[in-house]
Amino acid sequence: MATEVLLGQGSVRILPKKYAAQFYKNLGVFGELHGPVQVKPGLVVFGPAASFSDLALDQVRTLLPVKKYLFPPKEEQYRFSTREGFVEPEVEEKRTVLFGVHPCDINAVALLDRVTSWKYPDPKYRARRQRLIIVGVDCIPDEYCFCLPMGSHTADEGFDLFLTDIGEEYFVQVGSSLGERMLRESWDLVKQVEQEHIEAFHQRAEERQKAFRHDLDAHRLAQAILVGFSSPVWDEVGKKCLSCGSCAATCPTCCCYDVLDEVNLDLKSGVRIRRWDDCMQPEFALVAGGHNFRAERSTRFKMRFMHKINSFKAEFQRLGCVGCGRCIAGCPADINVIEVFQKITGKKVTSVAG
Amino acid sequence: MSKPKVGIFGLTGCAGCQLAIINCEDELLDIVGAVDLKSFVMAQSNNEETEFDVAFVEGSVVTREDEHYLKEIRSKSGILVAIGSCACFGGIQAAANDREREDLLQIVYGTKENFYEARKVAALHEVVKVELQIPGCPIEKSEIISGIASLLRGDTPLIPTYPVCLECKYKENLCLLKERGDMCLGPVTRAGCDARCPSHGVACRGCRGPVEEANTASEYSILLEKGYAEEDIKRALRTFAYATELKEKL
Amino acid sequence: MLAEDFAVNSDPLKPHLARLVHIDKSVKDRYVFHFRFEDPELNESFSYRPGQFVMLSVLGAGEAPISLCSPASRRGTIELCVNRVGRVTNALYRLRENDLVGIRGPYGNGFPVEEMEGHDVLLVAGGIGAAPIRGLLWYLLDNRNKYGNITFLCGSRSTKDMLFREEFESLLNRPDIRCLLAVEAVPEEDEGKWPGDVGMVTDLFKYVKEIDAERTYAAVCGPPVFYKFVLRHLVDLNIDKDRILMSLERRMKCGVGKCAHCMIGDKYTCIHGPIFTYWDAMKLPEMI
Repeated sequence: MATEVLLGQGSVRILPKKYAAQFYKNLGVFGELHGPVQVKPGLVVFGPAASFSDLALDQVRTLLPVKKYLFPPKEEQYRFSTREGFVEPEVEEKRTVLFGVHPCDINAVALLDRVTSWKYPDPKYRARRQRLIIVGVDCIPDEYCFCLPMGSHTADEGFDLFLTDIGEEYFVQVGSSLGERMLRESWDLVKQVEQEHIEAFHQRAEERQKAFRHDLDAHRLAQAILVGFSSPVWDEVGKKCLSCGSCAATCPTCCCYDVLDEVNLDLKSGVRIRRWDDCMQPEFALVAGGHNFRAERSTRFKMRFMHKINSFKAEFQRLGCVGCGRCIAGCPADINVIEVFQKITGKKVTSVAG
Repeated sequence: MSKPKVGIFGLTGCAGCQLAIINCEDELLDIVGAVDLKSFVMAQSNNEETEFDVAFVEGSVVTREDEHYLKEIRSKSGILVAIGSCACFGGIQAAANDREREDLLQIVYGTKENFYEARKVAALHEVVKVELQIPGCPIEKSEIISGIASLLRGDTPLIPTYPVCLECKYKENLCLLKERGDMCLGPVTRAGCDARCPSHGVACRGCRGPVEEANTASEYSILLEKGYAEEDIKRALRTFAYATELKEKL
Repeated sequence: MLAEDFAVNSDPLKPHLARLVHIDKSVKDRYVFHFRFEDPELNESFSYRPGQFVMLSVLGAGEAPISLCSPASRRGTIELCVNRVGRVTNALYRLRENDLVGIRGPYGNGFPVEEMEGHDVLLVAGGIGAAPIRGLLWYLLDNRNKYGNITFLCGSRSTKDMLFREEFESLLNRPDIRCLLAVEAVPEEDEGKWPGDVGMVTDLFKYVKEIDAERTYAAVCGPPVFYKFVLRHLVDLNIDKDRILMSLERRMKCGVGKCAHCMIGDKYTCIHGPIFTYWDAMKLPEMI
């Protein structure tokens, strides 16, 4: 039988939940299956998940975001020797299907894609990105979520497939030609979209939207940071902040890094390491010679948001905060970014402490 | 180029850092091959009383004898490296630094005998000039090796200055401080241990000493809020580094 | 999968091996290192703008941004004037001629030399700041007919500390440039030999009263404290803040707009700088 040609209607499909496990298994053809896995109470991480039942799909957020697949916390950048110069390490060719990625995280990846291809593309990131297949799943927000006001509660790009929960079925959107091939692999499990599904899709969207509780005005943030540059809010936060780096490590868009050479005992060869860095560390803006451009914790905190809000907006026309809530959920000092954003824009604070 | 003359010494401490060097089994021959090991009392006989290009010193200054010995090592050495948290921050010995030596000696040894000429416990840099510090309880094998390699090249070894939390997050551990309410000192403690304890579900006790800009005040109030007693928090923060950085902040 | 895909031909982060061919040790702890790429083709094609920088790797010690001080208008050898202050630069000072390093670049915006065409240029350098300014200076002189009056002010602590001293002294008598040099101190052995002024670089402004502010660009580089004084003079001369150019230094780990160590406000020093205008400095926090 000849394959049905789908022109102009190939981007949406319905997957009954009873077939979800089989659908998931079929995705294994395209790469190693990964998704959110519950490690212990209160701890969900992205990791290998062989079967659908291993997935913790009701989870709100994983500890580390998708970036760990694209830009590991610590990696060998080059091997070097005085004889051969700098040589790239071997790269793994393995593909990964990451299932259950929420819209905020998909938007974060779309942003990382821009950052890493801006001006000088980062080949290591791009190679990994090409081997990462993303299957998004929608979610219901908790008290730390603020993706809606940040404009990243829906994903328009950056996924191969996206599944929206509409009750007994998933509404499947296709985001790439590879995604279309993935859907083909389970063609017998999916069906055509009817009007009732579209209605259910919108109803789900309404329901999700109502679950957000925080009043924020993301459009005013960049301006508010400039205007409020000497606002006491920064000092307030600076006093509480431990500079522990939890926020940067778990942030889906934080991608600052440090580079260091580790030399072997032969003193002629070694490895150049790239590791995640954290702009809250006192040395971050310290130059050789000893001058520190941001010695105060409060100025570092402010800079963190100037980068995320002002700089990302200027360079990439989107904000570097997707409202995933990880920095709030993980802050040992209970610093709440929603509260900081509300205060800096002169709004009433609605958030509960972290 | 002649090999640098190296000495490895111990003051008051558990000798665990010297043992950590001996435990570099796979790399030990490379290390011994790269340097001229003149003195390492714990590991070899035929130690020489000579000048050293680099001296590694473990332990803290607890007795008058430690003080004299350290000054002697200093006078003979080009570079003096403090190894381990005792040498860098005073270590556990310094936890009782706010009490009189006389009282402590009596508590431990009674009133009849006095074996030691004790002094207020000090980190090495409080007594002599120290070029480098490699913290840890004990020091990490990877930092010994990369530290020696850096020193042989003439570079300053790279020791992490960021806190344990970063490494803990990289390993995707549950936050023991936030989620379990443990008295975890990760936010104010230097990394480099790959968050070993929290990765095994044990709260960080600060064995690598405080980060340079440790926000002890905030850590303190977080723990108070979680219901810990003032005395317990102070005791925890003083465990490894009371001789130096933390003293003023408590 | 990425929607837009493009070929990844080269890795911008990978350094190329370069050989240290000469070290000019005229000034203590501010040697000028001369390099040539091992790859002859790269050595021939490597071109840059004045004011740009490279990332210099001393294998095993790490990588650091260093501004190019050789004239961009002449190819073949890269010259880097390196202040001996950090891990990488200290390691560099231990190298000998013929040793290998890694170099990648050039990076940064560089001075807007096209925009500056047809204008007078006032260059002000203090201490180590003479390095990037020297690159611009020779570019202007090599393209002399494109620019109006060129005035060069350069100061350093003592005659011993003046970078490119012989070269700059030779400019004193050149008719197509007004060169004014000042040192704060003249040591005994140089007494009677110093042709310049004795004083601060800012003292030299007394000679530059007559400038056409409307058609002048100023390019300044020096240590942080230097800017505070020099900028005041430039503003007094009525030079538009948009035409006062300054070269800034920051910690960098990539040089290509990724690691974010060099950010000032919403700008990356490695991409939007290292040449900023005084107007940028007024808008952005913690610039100097």
